[in-house]
Amino acid sequence: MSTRRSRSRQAGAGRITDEQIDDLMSKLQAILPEARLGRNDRVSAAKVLQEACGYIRSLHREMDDLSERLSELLSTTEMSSAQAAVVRSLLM
Amino acid sequence: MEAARSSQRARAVIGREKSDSLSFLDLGILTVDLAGFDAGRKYCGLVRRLSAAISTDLEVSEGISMAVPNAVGESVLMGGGERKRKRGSEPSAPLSKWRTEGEQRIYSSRLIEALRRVCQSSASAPSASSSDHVRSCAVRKAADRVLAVSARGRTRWSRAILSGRTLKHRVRPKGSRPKPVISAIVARAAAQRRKTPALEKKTRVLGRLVPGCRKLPLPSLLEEASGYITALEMQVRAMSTIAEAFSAAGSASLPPIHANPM
Repeated sequence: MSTRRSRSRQAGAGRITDEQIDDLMSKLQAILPEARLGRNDRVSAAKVLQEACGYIRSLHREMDDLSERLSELLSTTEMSSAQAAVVRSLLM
Repeated sequence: MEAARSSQRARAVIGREKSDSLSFLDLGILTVDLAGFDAGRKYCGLVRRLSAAISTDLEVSEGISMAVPNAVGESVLMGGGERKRKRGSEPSAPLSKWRTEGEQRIYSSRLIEALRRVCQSSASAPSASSSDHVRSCAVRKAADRVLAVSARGRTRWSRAILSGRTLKHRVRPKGSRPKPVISAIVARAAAQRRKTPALEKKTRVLGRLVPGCRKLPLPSLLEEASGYITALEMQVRAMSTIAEAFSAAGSASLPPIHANPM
């Protein structure tokens, strides 16, 4: 049991390769909106991380704004189950 | 029987050393792969009770979700809702699921239900929660919770949200949480091989932004961040669509017009 543990521990250390990190970085870069980075050329890891942080922050801000808007709409519109059906039909 | 022995061994190991996530991992793979689905289910029940007892910040729960192969993982982690193993029925790019219209529709209907509950609760206690800020916070929290549920608990950020928003809105209870020391050191050493201090700092900032990912090594953090960003994008899309629908429904209370907002 201890041998397997030490073996897998060593394998765990080697499993996280530079290649894997680069791969994940480019995947993250692909997700970020194109305006932030030129998608064709590879940008530095620091830039990707920075843009990711900025993007998440802006998404959070958008979420807060939307929550505020929705809560106002909720307060003004009396939400009955009939209206829930109406809204649902508008969505689907 | 193999299954009984595996789960017994799992129990013994869990009892002895809760913090060694690597042997946990091994047992996970062993139980699910060798002893089959039913043993995997038993193991899953064990795992879930254990994860409920320990904070989700532990690498234990991360190890489980990463050890069990995806197709089986879905059934195992969901407590065996499906009787068959669904190998290969998972989308190979889990990120793309957030972009599908179906997923957004599911999220929207769940969110509307949650919003209705928020509305009812704020209506029944008008003095307490009549302030706009409280209500919008409640809306935001409900939206995040529904999003986390839609992730089916397979990502760390979703588990962190469901276990009570350890980062944003609450002060975290100061840790008396056992940390998996061995694997944390190993993972950190491996991921930190050639990181400059600038990169280190940005990594930490990113870790703070994604729920439940503060002490995560870089590769896992990147993965979680990608999933989190795509999920957030879907959340924003769904909520803006719902807001449009609400204002349309509010301004004109007509019989439903079948419009396709997407």
